[in-house]
Amino acid sequence: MTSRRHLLTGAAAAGLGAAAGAGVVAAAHGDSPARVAAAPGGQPALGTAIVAFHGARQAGVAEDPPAHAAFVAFTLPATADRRGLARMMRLLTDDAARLTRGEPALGDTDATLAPLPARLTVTFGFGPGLYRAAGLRPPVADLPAFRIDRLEQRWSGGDLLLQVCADDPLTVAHTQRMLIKDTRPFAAVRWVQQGFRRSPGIHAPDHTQRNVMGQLDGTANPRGAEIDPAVWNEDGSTTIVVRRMRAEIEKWDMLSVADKENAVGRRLDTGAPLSGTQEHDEPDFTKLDDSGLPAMPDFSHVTRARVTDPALKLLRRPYNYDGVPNAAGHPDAGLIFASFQKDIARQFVPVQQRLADKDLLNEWITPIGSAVFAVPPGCAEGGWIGEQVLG
Amino acid sequence: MRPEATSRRNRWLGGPRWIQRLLVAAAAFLVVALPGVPAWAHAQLASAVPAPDAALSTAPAAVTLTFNEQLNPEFTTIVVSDAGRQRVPASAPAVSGAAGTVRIEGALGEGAYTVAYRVVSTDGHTIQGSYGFTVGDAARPPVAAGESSGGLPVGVLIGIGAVGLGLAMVAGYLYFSGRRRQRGSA
Amino acid sequence: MRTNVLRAAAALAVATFGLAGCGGGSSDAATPAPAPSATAAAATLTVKDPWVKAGAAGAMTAAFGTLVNDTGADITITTAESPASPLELHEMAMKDGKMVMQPKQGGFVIKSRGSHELSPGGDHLMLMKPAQAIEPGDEVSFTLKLGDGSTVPFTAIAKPFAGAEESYDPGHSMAPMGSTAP
Ligand code: HEM
Ligand SMILES: [Cu+2]
Repeated sequence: MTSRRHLLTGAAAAGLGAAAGAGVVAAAHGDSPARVAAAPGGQPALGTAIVAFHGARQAGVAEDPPAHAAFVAFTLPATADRRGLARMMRLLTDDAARLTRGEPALGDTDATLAPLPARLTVTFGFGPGLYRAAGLRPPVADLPAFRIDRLEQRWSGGDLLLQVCADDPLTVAHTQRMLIKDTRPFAAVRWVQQGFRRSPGIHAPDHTQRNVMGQLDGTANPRGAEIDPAVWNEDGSTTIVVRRMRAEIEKWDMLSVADKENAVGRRLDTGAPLSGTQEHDEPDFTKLDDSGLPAMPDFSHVTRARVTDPALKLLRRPYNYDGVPNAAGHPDAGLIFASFQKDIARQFVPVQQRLADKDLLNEWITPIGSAVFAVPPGCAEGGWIGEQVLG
Repeated sequence: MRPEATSRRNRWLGGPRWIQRLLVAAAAFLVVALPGVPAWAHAQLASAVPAPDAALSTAPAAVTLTFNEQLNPEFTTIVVSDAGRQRVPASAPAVSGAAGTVRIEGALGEGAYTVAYRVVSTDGHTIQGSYGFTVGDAARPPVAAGESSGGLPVGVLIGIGAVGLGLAMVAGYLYFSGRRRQRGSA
Repeated sequence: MRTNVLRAAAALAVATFGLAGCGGGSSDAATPAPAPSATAAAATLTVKDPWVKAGAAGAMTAAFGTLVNDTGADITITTAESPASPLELHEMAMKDGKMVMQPKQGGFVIKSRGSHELSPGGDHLMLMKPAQAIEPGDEVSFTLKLGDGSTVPFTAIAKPFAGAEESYDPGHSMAPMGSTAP
């Protein structure tokens, strides 16, 4: 299986979308059943683009991240058991399979919102607590405490994660709503984090995006075939770490461009390492400037985070958040830092430990939320996510 | 500004109009540039042993740099290089308050050396700079003293007046070259 | 006229799904019954997107879906059965200015090459008294009996559903469904 999912676009997707629209009967109130009009011809390809849900691996990991995301974490009640969890996952898998292909979920009271999936993906993660509830040994463990952590309960932990991504915020909202409704009988919403990236069409897809701090973010990410050895286990599973990183933007504003570049180790404009000239130049940590100082400051984020072993890299898939400023006009902004890797303990923890020990960027970023989840393999049509674990 | 409207103060300043223009431009430049130039407001090297440009007869066993504010040990880099730009083996910086010390491993031979530092002030600005010293009869250090914050070279040991004058000259240059470009494109 | 157009559209939709190879959700394949072609043995009728509203033991609830008739003749569903509960075929009707549900006289008729929606607020299969709670995610099997004596089995997944202010009380009061009346 290739890491990029097959995108159904154009005619096929438009046909599906229109058919779904025409075939839908919305929940009716009394009089005449409110039918959903077929989407008018010539839907822009963005709206009708479909990322295949079914496959050996879950979608929403290796594809280029769509523009909008909601991360929804749930807490299971003490009464949760394996059979109940299997029922929950059957239900949620069915919803996700339908919604991602532009069809309403069964019993969807807002069926009109389903036909434009806009590359919708729904990715399921199982926290340590879900395995314990099912009487199983968790394959993931909570992160150790790091000295930089200022974790808040309201952004941390969780037994079940839904990562909902699409190029359209209304699609994300509808999907989030539908999935929460169907999860409610099984679990309570613990936290929701909504984030965004650049809108589709703003950049060429392979263009590295800037984050809310103005940095080109994603340069060193594994791409294409490099994703496999870092991310996917043999069975199609992986793991996700979600850390809410508050950006201290007021303080960041006070830096000169050069200060910002020293903190990251890359140029703000081009994203080139301070040892090079082009974005994708390999950082050269041995290069010295005229006075003998390393061109890449040894306390810079890139110097500290650097991973060279292809099997140990992280696939970072962060989303920006930008909440409501306070009365003083200070922003509530940062990153919903999400990273995928085969093994959290082998890959993520050492990097986070190095960054916690020393990273100048820490002066302007603060972890305020943290959660880990196993991402079980995908499923074939007719199967359900988690069947290997809970079935 | 028409000549007859020239104010008393301008007359007192005197000189041809280009000097007036230059002063105005320099003032404007300082106002605009100052907040973005952290070198004055933030950590800077207060003293150093060996001192900048020192000509030593015996090799120093350590280099100690003292700044005008506390150092963060995590973000303190001090390196010593020889005239061939080879790093001199030395310990990691030991930080105590505002001072950072690297112990030099082995004895330095005769020659010119460069001390370079990169430290971070309490509010996160990076300050870096370098200076030279010699051991024995070697020629004067090849690397000019300098301090920078983000690559903008600023004389450390010269007074504010000198800095101002330098800036004024830069500003004047920018001002006139800007006018020339404008005229050229008109 | 409008209804015909919509039926055609719905049928087209079903056809499209069939071609695209994704007709039917995961619940279908868990028990192979209701994929559009899977009931061809009965030669007649398929049930698309079936689901049942989850509920407590003894509390009336209902099953929904789209009945699709791909044959050249009308099909009548006369009765339905489920191990989960006694069943009735219900419709919504105006009575004394109120929408109420009542047994459908003569059963559900699905026109040749047409389809028939069972939906909240419309026709439905009423589970009169489930023996056990129907939990969200449960799969409930049903059998439709047709006018010619043949049967069509299908499985519906149970969903938590609070739409349309519905309430199926065990009081059997035939209370208004989907009505916003006070
Ligand atoms: C608000 C929080 C963060 C910001 C703004 C941020 C920003 C950046 C930037 C600008 C880069 C350089 C460009 C690139 O390769 O993407 C980078 C690289 C990287 N970051 Fe972060 N980062 C954050 C948090 C984290 C965290 C929590 C981790 C993991 C624990 C992490 C791990 C990495 C890694 C592994 C690299 C690539 C290093 C390399 O091999 O070149 N970052 N980050
Ligand atoms: Cu009824």
